[in-house]
Amino acid sequence: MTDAQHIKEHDGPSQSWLKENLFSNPDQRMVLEKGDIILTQGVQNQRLYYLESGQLSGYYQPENDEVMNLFTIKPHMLAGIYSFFYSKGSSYTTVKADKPSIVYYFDKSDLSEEGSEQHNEFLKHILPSIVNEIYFRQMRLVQSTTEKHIALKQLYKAEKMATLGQLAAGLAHELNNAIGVLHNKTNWITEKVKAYFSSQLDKNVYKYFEKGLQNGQELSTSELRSRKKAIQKKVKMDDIAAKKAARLDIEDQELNQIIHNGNISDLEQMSNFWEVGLALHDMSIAADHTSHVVKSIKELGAQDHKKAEEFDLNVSISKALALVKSLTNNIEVKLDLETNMLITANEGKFIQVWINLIKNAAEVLIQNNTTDPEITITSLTRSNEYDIFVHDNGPGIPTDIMTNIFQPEMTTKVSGISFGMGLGLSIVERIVVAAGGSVTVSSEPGNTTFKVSIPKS
Amino acid sequence: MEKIYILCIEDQSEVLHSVLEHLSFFEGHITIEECESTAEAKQLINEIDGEGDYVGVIVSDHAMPVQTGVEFLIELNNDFRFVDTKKILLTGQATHMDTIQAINQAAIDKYIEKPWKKEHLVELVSTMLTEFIIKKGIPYEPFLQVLDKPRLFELLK
Repeated sequence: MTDAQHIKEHDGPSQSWLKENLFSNPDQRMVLEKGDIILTQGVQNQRLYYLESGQLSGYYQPENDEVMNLFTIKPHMLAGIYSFFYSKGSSYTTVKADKPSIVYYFDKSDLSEEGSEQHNEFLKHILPSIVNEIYFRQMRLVQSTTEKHIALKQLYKAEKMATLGQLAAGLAHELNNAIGVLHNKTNWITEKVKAYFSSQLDKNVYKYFEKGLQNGQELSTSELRSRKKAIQKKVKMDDIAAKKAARLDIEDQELNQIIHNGNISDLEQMSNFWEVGLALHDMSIAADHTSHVVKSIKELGAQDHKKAEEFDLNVSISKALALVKSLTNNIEVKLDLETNMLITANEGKFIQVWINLIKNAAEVLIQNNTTDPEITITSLTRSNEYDIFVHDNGPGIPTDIMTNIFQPEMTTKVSGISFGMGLGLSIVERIVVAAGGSVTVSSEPGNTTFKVSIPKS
Repeated sequence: MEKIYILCIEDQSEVLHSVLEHLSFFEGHITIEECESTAEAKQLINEIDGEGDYVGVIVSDHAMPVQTGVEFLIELNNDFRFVDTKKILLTGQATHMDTIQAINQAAIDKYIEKPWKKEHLVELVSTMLTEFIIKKGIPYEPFLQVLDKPRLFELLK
């Protein structure tokens, strides 16, 4: 409930009656300095106070805990209603002046005899104030319950993310050394083997080792099958040999030469060395892939030690776009950005947010061969927050995935190197939530939008 | 003589290459085929069946785009031509629910978890192959070298 509503409740004939009849005696006028106390928690109260000007606040001191500010009293509101009417009569809060204030009070001893006309008149006019007080208290209760609920939810989420982050950081640390060794030794052994083979092997054989190493298996499995059939049509060859020739993607002329010379064992040798090259190629890809996953995990678990600085969100978006340029080559990227959207945070983290969102959109568009693929990034300044929208015209997010799209393990991407282990969106959420903002998503075919809202700082 | 096929389905090529290298043990006796998607596999098994050959064993990954391995194997299990085909799920990602579903619908015979050991994979495929050959009444002698002999002996008793 807002104070404005509170005052409004108080306005009306009863309010003026109370003011005129109870709160106008110059002898019962008090001038308060800031910090002066009119009611003390747990102490008997005989008075009803009316705030003429200034501002009062009610404080509650729980046992063994910090003082809480429970309410604020603005001019024309009453203080002490509860303790005044409550038979035990002690105040449940301490009411202090926030700034120089003027109050009028009315003492229990001033009350007319019960049953008298004046007493009835008093009850009649005080009733709206009592109802208002009950309403006010009820609203406070609802409000605080709601706040508590929201705070608990946030706390639970933060806790979950923190646990996950610690776990991830530990895991990444352990994996990092191991993958570092595999990665470096793969490169090392590749160089050694390459140098040795290039000096020892016939260049026609070495050529295939290098082909396997550089390109891996270029033909798809179905292309391999048709290539194999084509070879078998031209040359009489058993399945295994034909498949080897197909995997080598050997030129017809070279193959004919081999067959012609009756050197089928040459093919065997080429295939063997091609396979060695392929194995090294695959190892290198797998090592890169694992390094990438470890990096993502570290990012997720990273504790933010960097200082927050003021930066323009739009500039961070432009920086992110520069970093993912290679991904968006075949995609039309439309920008509708404002300027001067300043927040104080770690800019690097936000660049990461935009990279992940743009990368996701780009990968979806590429994977699904969307015609006229488009990503639109829009930024808007609202009264309390900045909104950034990342929109794509891809096929949309399947409904069964929507509900847990921000969960760390969720991924629909499975192909080789671009595989991000499904951490991207949970990293986005973690960074944005840490900045007090939120990420939401809406999706239908051809129309998927991630909205990032960040409070102005 | 009809050919017997072992079919591998895996969408990640580096992983597929490992599976193929491990299964090269069977080469010369069995024809090994590879596919990158279940759609490609369906086309291929139709061709194999059309030639009158056998699809003896399928080793399939689970988490693949478009159709998962479990969905594919269940579909296959409802096709009378491939009911006897031995079905092995090779995955590191199947959730419990996927696995329970696969077992309940009798779609898979074996489940191998990634990362796997070469000997384990070869042994398992060999056992499956042995069971398939006996079940189909195919003369086992030409394949003896790649069969699981203790299992064969058991089945022949």
